[in-house]
Amino acid sequence: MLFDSLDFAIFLPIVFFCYWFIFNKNLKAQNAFIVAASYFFYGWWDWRFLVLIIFSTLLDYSVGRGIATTNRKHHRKILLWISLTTNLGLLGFLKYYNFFLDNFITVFSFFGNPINPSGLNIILPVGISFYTFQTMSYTIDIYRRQLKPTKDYIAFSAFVSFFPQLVAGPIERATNLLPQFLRNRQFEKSKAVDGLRQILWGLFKKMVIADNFAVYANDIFANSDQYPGSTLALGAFFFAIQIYGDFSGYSDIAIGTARLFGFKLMKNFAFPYFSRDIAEFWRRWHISLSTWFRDYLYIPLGGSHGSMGMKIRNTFIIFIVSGFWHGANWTFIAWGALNAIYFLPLLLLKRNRNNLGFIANGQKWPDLRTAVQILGTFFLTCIAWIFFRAENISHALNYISGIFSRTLFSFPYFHRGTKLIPILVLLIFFVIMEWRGRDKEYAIEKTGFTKSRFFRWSFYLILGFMIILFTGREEEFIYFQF
Amino acid sequence: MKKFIKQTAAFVAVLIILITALFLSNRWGAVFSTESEKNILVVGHSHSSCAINDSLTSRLINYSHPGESYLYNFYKTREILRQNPQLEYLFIEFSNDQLDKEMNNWTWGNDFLLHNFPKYGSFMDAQGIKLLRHANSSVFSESFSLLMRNNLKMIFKGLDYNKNDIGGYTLLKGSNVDKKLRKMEEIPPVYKNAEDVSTVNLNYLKKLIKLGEEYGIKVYLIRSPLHPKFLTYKNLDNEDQLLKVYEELKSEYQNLGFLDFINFPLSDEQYRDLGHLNYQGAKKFSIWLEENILHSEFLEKPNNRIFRNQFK
Repeated sequence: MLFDSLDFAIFLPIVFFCYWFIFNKNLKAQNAFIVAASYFFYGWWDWRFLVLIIFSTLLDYSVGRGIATTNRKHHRKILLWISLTTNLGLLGFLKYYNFFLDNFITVFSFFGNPINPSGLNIILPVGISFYTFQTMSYTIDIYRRQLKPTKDYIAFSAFVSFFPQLVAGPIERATNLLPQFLRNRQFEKSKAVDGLRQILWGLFKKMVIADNFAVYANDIFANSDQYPGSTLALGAFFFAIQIYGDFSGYSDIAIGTARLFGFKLMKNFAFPYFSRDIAEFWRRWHISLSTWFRDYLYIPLGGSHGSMGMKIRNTFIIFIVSGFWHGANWTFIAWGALNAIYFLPLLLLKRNRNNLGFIANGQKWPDLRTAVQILGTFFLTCIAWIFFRAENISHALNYISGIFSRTLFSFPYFHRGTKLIPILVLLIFFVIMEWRGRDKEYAIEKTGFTKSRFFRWSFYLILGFMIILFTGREEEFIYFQF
Repeated sequence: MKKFIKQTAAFVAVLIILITALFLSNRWGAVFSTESEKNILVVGHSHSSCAINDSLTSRLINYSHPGESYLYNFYKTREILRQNPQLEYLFIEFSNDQLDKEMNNWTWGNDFLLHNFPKYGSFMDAQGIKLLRHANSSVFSESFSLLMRNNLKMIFKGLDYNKNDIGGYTLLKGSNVDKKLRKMEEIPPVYKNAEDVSTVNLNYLKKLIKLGEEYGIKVYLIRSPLHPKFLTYKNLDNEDQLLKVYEELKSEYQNLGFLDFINFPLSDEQYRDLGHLNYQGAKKFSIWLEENILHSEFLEKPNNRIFRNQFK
């Protein structure tokens, strides 16, 4: 069930009413209801996927309990490895089997030993990368004695399967989310209203901004050999907008939905396109994943300590693994490696923590230096996104060489999509709102708070109305081609 | 909690009222006026849209639109007839491909739904909306959003639906008949099953005929000129089926006429392709129509029919 579907629009109010009016008397019943609702939500895609999530839940619940009951380091380690290998094994098999197989075939063929094993027609369960990491963090934290295992299986199941963040994050830590399932939750109007507001903004980002720019980005990337450099440059820009609107919009809806049920999820995006350098960008983009890799991979590897060689190695490992997490394709690995290349100079010159403060603090607009930094970082990010979006490495390289050709200065044109100007106007509105709200949890958190209720309501209605008006792809009708 | 629910419900209600108002504004206020001296309405898809240049005729107005199935023809025609009491005749394009199962795709296929529902959705009844929603629910919600956008746009255009691309003569230049014929020689035809018809399209054809009768106007099925190789090109072998359907319709609606111009004499150079006339062909055909058909003497004859063999 997608957040921007009619199914979810029906599902959410029903779950909300049952949660607060029927199951509110008993915490266990409320948690059990969340599990049931979450399984229903997840099973809406394919009921078979439920087997995996239930298995993963059982495994880490048992392993967590097992680790806590023994003080023998060796036993604890074995249990941890059982969890890690099973979770990563499942993820690896379901997500990466065919990728590795293809590459083995290529390597063997290259050395003159062609092999012909058959690939598997594997359906990748939705959100497996997210909930696998969430359950692994629980077990690792227990192993590190940073967390006590819960005895409440229902609460643990709810933590693993909590539907707002199940399929696209934020990837929650047990230390933050699990305790919220173990204490009574009271309805607070201000939080629920805040949740609805964040859902509204998330829907706007996803349905108005991301989905409309997707029409252009998809067409330009699919036909990149037919477009001039100027259009290709715009294509990369449009994709950058699309992926941010899509992913951060989805996170906003997830966080807002959780608020309706009395939960506080971690912030996942903090206006990353206003970052002044790549290090700052990675502190602001997909925060739940970046911090996961930082805490469970980068720091155990030695982090930014040790020799120069160690630093370089660790940086490449974390970025490449992060890239590979996104998908089984060399393009994601290249995307990760390119970000590592962007990041390394900052790390080696010890300038990776230069921009920790608020962007353009106390200023309405950025000064020239900040503006240049922001635009420069955004430019580098757009170049990296080309690898993320391309079909394969050669497509990405051809795309980039297409941008930096003489046609970069020609007038851009598009085959599909007919309403670019209204969408660009919406983008300007979007950027202004994001800039104005850059010190908040999300852009419109406090918009209109100093104004009258009428103003606020009108603003929200206009947003809602725009979501309805701009959801559909307005494409040229291609039937009549003589 | 109560206050929260009340406020949320109020917000949703206001949003729904706004959407409904926008939906109804077009349903109630749309203008489909035609020139008062024109009393023959033509609807159909690209064949009639390209074949009849209504600027060369005194009494006929062409509202055919490429890629439009009978469902959309029906809701458009209903509005046009409602607002134009001077109309006395309704010509409905009746071509072999309109029986084909492909017409289902023309009715609710992604591109067709996204293009046509925004234009005509406001004028549809619950039956039509339900049919489309059921047949393609994933794209339907998207097309509903486009309908809202279209309605808003139409308000700025004074709700004049003649400015909403709802049909008209389509002027085509050049000819690629030779190219198509050469291509046909390379690929032998694989004929479709003639029995495999689009029942939805036929149902809406019946509704169109019935609509004409309700308004007391005479209805003609009309087959525009087609290149002799058109049916082979389209893998259609349903000529008998077409005539059978007409006979069935005729038994149900006695006044139904059929003007079959499939064999109207035209050279290859007067076709844009095998199914569509270019502007030269349209000129010849439209002038001939004006001189020979579009007068009351002919049109008022009972059980009027032009047979395909009349042109051989």
